[in-house]
Amino acid sequence: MKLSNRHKNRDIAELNLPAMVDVILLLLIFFMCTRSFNDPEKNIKSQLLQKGMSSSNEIADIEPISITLRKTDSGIMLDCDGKKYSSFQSLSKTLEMLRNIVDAKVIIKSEAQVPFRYVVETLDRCKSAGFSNVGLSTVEIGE
Amino acid sequence: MKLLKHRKTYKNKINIASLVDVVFLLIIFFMTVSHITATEQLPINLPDAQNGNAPSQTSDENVIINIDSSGNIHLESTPIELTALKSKLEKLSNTTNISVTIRCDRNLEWSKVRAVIKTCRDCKITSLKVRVRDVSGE
Repeated sequence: MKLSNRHKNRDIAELNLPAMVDVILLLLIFFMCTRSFNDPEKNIKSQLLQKGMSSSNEIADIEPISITLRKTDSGIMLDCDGKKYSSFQSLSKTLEMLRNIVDAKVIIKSEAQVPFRYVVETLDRCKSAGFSNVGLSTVEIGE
Repeated sequence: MKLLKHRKTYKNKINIASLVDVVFLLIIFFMTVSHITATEQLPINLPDAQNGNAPSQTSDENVIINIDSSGNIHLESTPIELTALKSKLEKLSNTTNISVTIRCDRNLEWSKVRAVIKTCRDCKITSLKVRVRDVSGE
């Protein structure tokens, strides 16, 4: 009777360590293979205004700010309500000044050949300045 | 002589417990730093931005449109033509509220992206999100 009891107790206490190590190593290999150290992706919201429709927070009698992107030989030319800028830094300063006056609607227009990253950077700068209502225009420049 | 024998057996032993500890720590490290890529997301070189918001779950049905560096359009991971995309979006927008997320290559010409955005606008979609690579460091 004593012998059988002892034998049973030993069975319960024993842990199959090599098998556990195998599983853990497999888990480690899985996570090593599936991991990616890419920067996380985020969303920037933009308005898609329909023809004849105004956004909910649009303030009456305030002209929207229009930013136009044109491709040049040296890079990009930015046009904010008729004023030209050759860098995003100078545009940012103007946008911050304008935002301090009122949270107007901003419309971004771009030439067909302009790379998408510049359009997104303009959108990002508008958000940085604090504009809440920024839209991308689908109208071709010159139309 | 007996003592020497004892030393030999001690040398051959591997400290499994500490090995398991180290391996567990490695697993926790890889689990926390890894982002398992979603199957619907194609590898696209996204534009950088600092003011993006983390993608969140909304009541609207979210449609992801991928545009690669050649200008090819993919609805989730399925290649699709612009005309077919339009009819699909029209069908979806007629039944539910949808929001569109555009994942587009950073160097692609605006004209290609504009065509897709125009299609979304024509389908009466008002909620558009642009997917960016977060460089804010947050």
